[in-house]
Amino acid sequence: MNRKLLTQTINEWRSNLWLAVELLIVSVVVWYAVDFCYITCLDYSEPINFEIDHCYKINILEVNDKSPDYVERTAEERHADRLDLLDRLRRRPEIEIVSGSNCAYPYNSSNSSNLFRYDTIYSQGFVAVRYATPDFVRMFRYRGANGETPDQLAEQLERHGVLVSSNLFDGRVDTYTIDSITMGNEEVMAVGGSIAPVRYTEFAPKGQLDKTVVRLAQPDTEWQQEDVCVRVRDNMDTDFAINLMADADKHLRSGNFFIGSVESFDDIRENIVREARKQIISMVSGIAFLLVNVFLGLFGTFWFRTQHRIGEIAIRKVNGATHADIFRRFIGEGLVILTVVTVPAIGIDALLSHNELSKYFMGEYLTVCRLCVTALITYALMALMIVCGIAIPAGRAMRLNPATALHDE
Amino acid sequence: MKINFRAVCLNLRRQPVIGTVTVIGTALAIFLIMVMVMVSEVSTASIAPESNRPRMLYNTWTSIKSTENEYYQSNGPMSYETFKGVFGDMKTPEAITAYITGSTSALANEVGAVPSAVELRHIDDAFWRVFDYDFIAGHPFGKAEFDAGLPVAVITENTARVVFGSTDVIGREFRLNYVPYTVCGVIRDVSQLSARTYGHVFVPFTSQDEYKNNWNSDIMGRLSATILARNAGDFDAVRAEFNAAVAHYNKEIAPTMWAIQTFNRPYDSYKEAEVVVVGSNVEPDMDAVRMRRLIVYLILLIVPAVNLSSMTESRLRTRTAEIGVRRAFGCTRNETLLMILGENLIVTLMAGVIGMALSVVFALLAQDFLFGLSDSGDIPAVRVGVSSLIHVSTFLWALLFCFILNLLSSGIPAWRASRLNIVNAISGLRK
Repeated sequence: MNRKLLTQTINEWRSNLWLAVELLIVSVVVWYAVDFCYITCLDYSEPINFEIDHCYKINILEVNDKSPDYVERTAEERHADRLDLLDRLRRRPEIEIVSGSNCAYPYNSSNSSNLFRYDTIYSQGFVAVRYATPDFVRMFRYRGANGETPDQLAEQLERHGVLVSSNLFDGRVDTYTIDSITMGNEEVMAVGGSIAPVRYTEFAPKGQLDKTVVRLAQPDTEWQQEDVCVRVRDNMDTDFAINLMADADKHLRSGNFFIGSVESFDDIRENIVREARKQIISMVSGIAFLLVNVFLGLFGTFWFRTQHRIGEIAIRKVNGATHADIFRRFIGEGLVILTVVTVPAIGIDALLSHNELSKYFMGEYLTVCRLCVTALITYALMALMIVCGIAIPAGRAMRLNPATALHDE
Repeated sequence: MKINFRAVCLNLRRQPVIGTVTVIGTALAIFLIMVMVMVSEVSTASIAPESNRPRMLYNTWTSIKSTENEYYQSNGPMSYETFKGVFGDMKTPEAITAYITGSTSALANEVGAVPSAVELRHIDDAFWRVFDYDFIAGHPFGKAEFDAGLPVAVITENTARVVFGSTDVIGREFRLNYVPYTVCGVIRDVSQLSARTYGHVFVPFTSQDEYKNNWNSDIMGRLSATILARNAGDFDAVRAEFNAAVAHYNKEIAPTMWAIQTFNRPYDSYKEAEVVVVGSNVEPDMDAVRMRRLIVYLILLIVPAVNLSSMTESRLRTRTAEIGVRRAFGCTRNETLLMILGENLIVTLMAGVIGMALSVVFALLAQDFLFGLSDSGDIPAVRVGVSSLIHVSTFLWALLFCFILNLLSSGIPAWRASRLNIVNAISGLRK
């Protein structure tokens, strides 16, 4: 039966060639998109090591001297006004934590980086330097590299002044054994503890942009805590931003400071991950489009083929072929073509990866395991479409009445 | 040779399943390609208030490099001093505008009323000459008001309604971040399609201190620039003048140990659209961009074309005898070829219209996702209209893709059909 199927497929080579060419192109393109989505899923599933639920960013502005509300202030008075405004925020019943930071809050497009050294070992690549008050670590629930709680980390930051991520020196040094590190400008800093790598976003490639050094923001240095964020109690988060802004004009002004806006971290995150998500959706849409084309192509071809093979099908049935036999033969034709083209398709896939055109993951563009998984997913998707595309014409062929079909004979 | 439209329809109806699959396949291909065309045209086509895009050049970011250490560089907006030093004496362009890059969130209210969050734009007086906003009342602020840093503002229609409850507000005062401003003009609301021109309240940047926030020896700051050339043919002359101005300015700032590197700026709208992708410190590689786009379009065309080709072949098989008779009565091979291509083109165009219509409906319904639009502030957002999505060029692209798809999908079957042996064809044989 299998040999007959193969012979028949070869005999129909002219019309099967179109299908084979289409399946080959689609297989390579679908593989590329599947590989992209697969690696993105692996990246996405890595722990991000912070939490943003119930967190908001409060944008604090100052009226200028052109406003009738402007009041003359000395530097000390101005500093006191700012602290007063932060205190008023802290006193609100719905607010649990208020923190100050610079280039530190999650999904922040402003970055500060530096080079670090321990003895003669230098950090490689981007290391984010985040200035933050101890409450910042509590607010975004940073995780300790050895399971320390946010409270313990906050205490370590407050006491020693620096927390470093466990991957700061790419595993060449155990960050737990480090008591101090040297920054690019030769400033030596005492290290209080080690945190899990803080990822840039869920979509950022694993191992990139997640080396972090958290430095304690000095209380009298305003720029080190200019970004004010708050965490709202879990059960009091309904309409927080609206209620705060409604009160802001009357109750949350101090000296020249006022609250300009409140941004939810869900919105901040959305603005940053939108492009990455759009890319995924585009890839999935591309896969869907190509698979629908495979479906239509097979449907059309096999519909026509059924019309022209009525006599052959009828003779098979007269000779004892069951409905299932006819169905299997049609589906089998499609799967044979797919299997044949999958071999060169995998070769092309490997070639694309070899030329570094696929997505970078953990220092590699191609591994045998990754190629096997993605090629298998691609084959399964294509096979599904082939079965769907051929099922309707094959069903039609199954229901043929042999007597009617062979009437003319 | 005459192509009979009715015959085309009858042929389609004679094989309804294959005909429907052909139309769906073609419509789907045109739909997807046109969605891609619309998304890419949003940043390059003439859309108000950037109706003059073919004449515009952009200098959104400025890059400086240390003359002492080649690894030190800074990329971002420029200072007002740099803007005046580089663009101040340029004569070739029709107008050059400077504005703070992006909008900022601000509070706007009448005295005693609850403040509303608005998107504030800090601009200069030339902004109104470079971009074309539709004024429904009042006028833009001019050079004298800009130079004096007067607190005047142009606001959008929806902002006027939210802050004042009316659009008849010329001369009325309101507070912007608690600073009194007077409304001098009201414009129609603009969509977020162009981040460069979107905003609710537009004020002279000299009326606030934000533009003075400089760094790197006052070379870098908060400003971007857009140049309106007299015509697109002037671009090379404008760039030459810009390069000369940069060279001159670099001599002026030599003591700071910084020098501006141009990365072949200012860019036209096509290159500028890629800056968003690659960032401020790299020059977009347009050859690579074009190649990537070409590959995507080719895949989107070739896959359905192979499909459709197989179906065209199937449809032609049932017309073998007819083609034989035509040939026997004097129809040449070329005429046969053109007839099949022409008939197929009618089907492709019909499906193309369906695909195009679907793509417009989809773009309108899914505009937030496709164009990355999101609500900002308390001012109601305006939806993107059809006129912003469809341009003459969109139709031309759709037509071009239909022609290519037609040629790819019916070229080989038509060529094979035209070369049939007449005797075999009449007897229904196809080899």
